[in-house]
Amino acid sequence: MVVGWIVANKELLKIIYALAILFICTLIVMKADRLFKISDYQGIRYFRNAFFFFGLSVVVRFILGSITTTNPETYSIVIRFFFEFFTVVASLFLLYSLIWKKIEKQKKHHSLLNLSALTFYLIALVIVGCDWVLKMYFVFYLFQIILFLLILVVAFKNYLTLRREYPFLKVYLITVSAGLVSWILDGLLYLTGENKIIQMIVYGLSTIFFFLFLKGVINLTRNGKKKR
Amino acid sequence: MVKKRDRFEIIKDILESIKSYRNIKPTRLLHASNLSPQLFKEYVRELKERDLIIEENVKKERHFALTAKGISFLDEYKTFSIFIKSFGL
Repeated sequence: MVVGWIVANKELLKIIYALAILFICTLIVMKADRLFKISDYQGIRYFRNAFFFFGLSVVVRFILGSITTTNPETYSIVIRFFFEFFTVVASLFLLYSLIWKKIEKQKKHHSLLNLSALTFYLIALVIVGCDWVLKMYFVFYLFQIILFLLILVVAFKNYLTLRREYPFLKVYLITVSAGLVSWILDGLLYLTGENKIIQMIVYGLSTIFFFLFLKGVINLTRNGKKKR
Repeated sequence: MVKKRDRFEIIKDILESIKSYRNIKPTRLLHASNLSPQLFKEYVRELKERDLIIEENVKKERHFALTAKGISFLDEYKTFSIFIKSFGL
C-alpha cells in the first residue's frame, strides 16, 4: 500500500526530495563557507565546493528536469549533460578535500577557477563526452563508483588513524558507504531497467548521505557549546 | 618525539603569542613562534595579508597586534580544528 502510494505520487516526491537535498546542500555550503572565510583553510574550501556542485546537480536533475518543453528529447540530453557534469565535479572536489594536502604546494586564490578546479571540469567533460559519444551513461556510473571507492579508502585510512580522538570519522565512513551503495544500485538500475523498490532504496541512501553530512557539519560547528 | 606543527597550528601559535602579550615586538614574536627568521617573515606577511594581524608603531617601535578577524580566528580555532580533523580535510 505504501509502495503504491509512493509510486502514484512519484513526481511530487521527487520534487520534495530535491528540495530537501538542495536545502541540506545550501546549509552545508553556508556553514563551511563561514568557516573557510575565517580560517582560509583549503580543505574546507574544497569540501564546500563539493556540496555547492552537488546542490547544482540536484537543481538540474530534479527541478529543471521536471519542466516540460516542446523538445523533450534535446532538453533531456542537455539536462543529463549538466547533471553528470556537476555530479562528477562535486565528487572530485569531495575526494580532493581529503587528499589536497599531499598534492598542493601553493595556495589557491580563486575557488572555482584554479588549476585543480579546471582539471576537474576537464575530467567531468571527458566523462560526459564519453557517455554522449557512446550514447549510454555507463561511463558516468562507473566513474562515480570508482570515485566513491577512493573516497571510502581515504576515509577508512583516516578512521584507522584518528578514530579515538574524532568519533565523527566513523559516521563519515558510514556516510560515504551509503553514497557508494547508492551509486552501485543506481548503476545497476541503469543496466537492468526500472525497479521501483531499488529506486526508493537509492533515494533513501542518497538522503542518508546528505543528511549525515549536514548533521556532522551542524554538530561540529556548534562552537564548542555542546560536547562533541 | 615532538610532533611537527602544521601550518594551521603555527598560525594559531603566532596569534596566541600576540594575544597573550597584547602588543608584541617582532623579535619577541620570532622567539615565541619558534620559527626560522625566513619562515617567520613569510608567516607574518601572510597573516598581514589575511588581515589577522596589524603592524603598528608604539613609541617609535614596531609592534604586532591582533585584528578583529585575528581574534575571531583564535575564538573559533577549536571549532575548525575539530571540523577539519573530523572530516579528514
